Amino acid sequence: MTDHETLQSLLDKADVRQYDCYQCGKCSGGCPMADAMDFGPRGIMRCAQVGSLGRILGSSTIWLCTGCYACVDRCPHDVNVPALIEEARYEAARRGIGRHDSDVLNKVFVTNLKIFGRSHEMILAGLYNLLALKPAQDVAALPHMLAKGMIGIKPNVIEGNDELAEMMQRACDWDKLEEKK
Amino acid sequence: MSRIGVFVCHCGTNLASVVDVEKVAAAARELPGVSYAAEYKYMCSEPGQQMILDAIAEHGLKRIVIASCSPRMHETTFRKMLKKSGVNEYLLEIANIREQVSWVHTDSGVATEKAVDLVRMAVAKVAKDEPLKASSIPITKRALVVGGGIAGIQAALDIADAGHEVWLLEREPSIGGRMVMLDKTFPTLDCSACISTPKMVDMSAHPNIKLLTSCEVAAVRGYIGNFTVTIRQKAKYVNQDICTGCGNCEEKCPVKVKSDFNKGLSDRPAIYRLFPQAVPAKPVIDRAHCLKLTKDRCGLCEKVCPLGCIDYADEDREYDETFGAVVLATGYGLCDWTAMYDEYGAGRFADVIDGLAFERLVNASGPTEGHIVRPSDGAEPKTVVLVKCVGSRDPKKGKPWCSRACCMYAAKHAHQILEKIPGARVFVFYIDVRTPGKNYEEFYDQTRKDGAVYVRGRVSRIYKEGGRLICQGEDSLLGKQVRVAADLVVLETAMEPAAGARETAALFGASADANGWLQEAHPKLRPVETQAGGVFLAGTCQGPKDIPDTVAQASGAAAKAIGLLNKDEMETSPMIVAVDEAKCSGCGACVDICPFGALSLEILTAREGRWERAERFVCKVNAGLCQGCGACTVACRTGAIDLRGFRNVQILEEIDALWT
Repeated sequence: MTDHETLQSLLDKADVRQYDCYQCGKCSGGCPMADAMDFGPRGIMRCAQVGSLGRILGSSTIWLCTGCYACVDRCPHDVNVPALIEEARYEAARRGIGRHDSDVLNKVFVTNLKIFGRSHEMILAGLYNLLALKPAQDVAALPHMLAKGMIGIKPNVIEGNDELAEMMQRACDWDKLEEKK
Repeated sequence: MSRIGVFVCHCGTNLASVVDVEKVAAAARELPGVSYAAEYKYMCSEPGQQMILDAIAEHGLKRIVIASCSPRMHETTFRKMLKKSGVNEYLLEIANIREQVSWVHTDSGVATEKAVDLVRMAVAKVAKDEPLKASSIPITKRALVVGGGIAGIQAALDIADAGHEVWLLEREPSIGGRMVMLDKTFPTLDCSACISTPKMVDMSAHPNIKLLTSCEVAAVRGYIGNFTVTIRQKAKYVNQDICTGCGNCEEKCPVKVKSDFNKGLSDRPAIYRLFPQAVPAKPVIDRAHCLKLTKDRCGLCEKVCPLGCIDYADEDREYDETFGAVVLATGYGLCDWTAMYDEYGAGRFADVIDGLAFERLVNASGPTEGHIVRPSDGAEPKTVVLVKCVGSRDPKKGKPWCSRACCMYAAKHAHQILEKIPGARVFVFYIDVRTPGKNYEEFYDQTRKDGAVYVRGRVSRIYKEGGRLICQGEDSLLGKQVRVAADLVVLETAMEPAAGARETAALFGASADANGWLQEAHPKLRPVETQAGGVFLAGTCQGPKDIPDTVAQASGAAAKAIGLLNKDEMETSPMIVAVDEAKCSGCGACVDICPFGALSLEILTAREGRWERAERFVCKVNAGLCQGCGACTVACRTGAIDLRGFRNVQILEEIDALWT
């Protein structure tokens, strides 16, 4: 598939038509992550309109989108940008151009769940900082959060966590099977 | 021998590029009754018409089939031509091989085959055509203009100046419409009231114009040339013949109601004039808020009126009047943004107002005498944000259209703020700037030079922080999110069709499009006419437009109405229904189905002998009202009604021809 065809298939899967967007910018105007993004949702739609798949896959925007759907809610044409971003993330991962830190977070998060059955923030943040080579990130907030009981040191293991781990393993295998198809 | 002539048009390459016109003509020559067939590049042109006339003379043709464009396009052209030839103009059939063939097919073989079929059907029908003769009905030389805004005023003045009687009907207590609410008008910045109120005075003084305020159209019967309109005069409770408009009652009335005219920025009494320069300059009582009418208390206005004009017993009245022509000028309303834009506060913030409210604020005769202040605390705003396309260009909120005037009045608002408030900052959020009008781009240019900052992006959210309104949006040219802390926000909201416009138009047989704007007969070539004969459109009822376009269209509608009223009689189509009384059983199914009220049952004395007398009902046709739609012919059980020009036998002949 050419990049052009790939982009079209991502748009089709997301049920987004690039010509629906007239670049009014109401999406980026209301996006809570816009300040940190390179393109913002309007920029992603612009890239789609000019057929620049590479720009979309290489952007920080697709990894910073929180999926809050404020953009879709306000869009006068109901363009579902988060759905396109979701498809772009898959494509980036397939091509191995996913962001290292996002990948790390995903892996640490899944491992965390498999062991404890629920996310243990202390271990999640600690492992992430180590593996993503950002040892000092958010450390300043630690004393405050510990003091307020927002995070704890003792892991909390749920009942039947082994069964949950098995379910998650199956879900991961399923994804791989789907991809092979 | 029928002596039918068939003429196939090429329509330049419109037809000939898809249909093999020579083959169609050749096939036509073989059809029964056809004595002559020819083709030509442009049948409707003068040499084309001459060619047909020559062929009629040379070959003694008695009936004509023309294979060309839709009959809607040129049937009348060819009928006019036949009047010169001695062949009755109703012995003509048009086979539509453009809209129904060449424009919708790409395969030449299939298209040619279909064209031949259509010609064969037309030949079969024309053989059964009968000569018909048009009759005429007298025209009532009086026009009705519905709506007293600038469009209605202009149309009424033009028709009246041409010497015809005009009645202007307005549902509010005063004429003037939206234009009198405005302050200055772009791009010349002349005062709206100064240019519209003299026209209003001209109206009230014009000998040919009768003003009907607080009136509505209740029902309409009849058709072009003779509309019988039931007018509902709402009770005014003030004897308008005696009242001098002294204003005592307005001063003494204890009731305070939010003034719609001032967009809720001030109060008015329950007995009121819409605005000080109202025409007619006499007050009416708002029955929903008057203490006397709602609770039988007060009665102050009656006591203070020196002439005894107040009449609490006044009631709504209905009466019928007949008009020859109608101009619809029902105007527009602004969309209710508070119901649509939660992200802009949905009306929770007093200092987020719409453009019309700003017009009242900046207007010298408005509630603040022209001082631009914040509605919340009366302070002068230092930073103002103007948001364009609120409601417009927003399919999700049901309004896909561009309201056309907002780009320009937003530029005018920006200019007025910068002029009136020294040191003020104005930010205009826009998607596109559209300035297609004479001197419009120059005005926009000047506004930017005045200091207005244009930000390309739609505001995403307005929220309150520290007593100021934060407008958050994207500067899409920078690709950065921006937040402007404003003291006042003006939303330039969408125009929408006035409430009830569709229903009023429907009474006259005119229709509205999917968005509720009234439908013109043709978007380019018949922009002021409707599909209903004798009903014309003026101003924003037909679509969003600014004042210059509105006035121009109003004069156009007036010219059409004058053209109609200048005739004494109007030719009516002879293609109307006829009843075979011998077959009619008097069931009345046709009477119920007729949309024009043209049919009625009458008693026929069927048999009258010395000893017996039998009476029965039969259907009668009012030739002035029948429009030849044919609905009754389908409903008639006995087949007693037939539509001239489309008789059952003609249609069956056409269908039979398709199978042979």
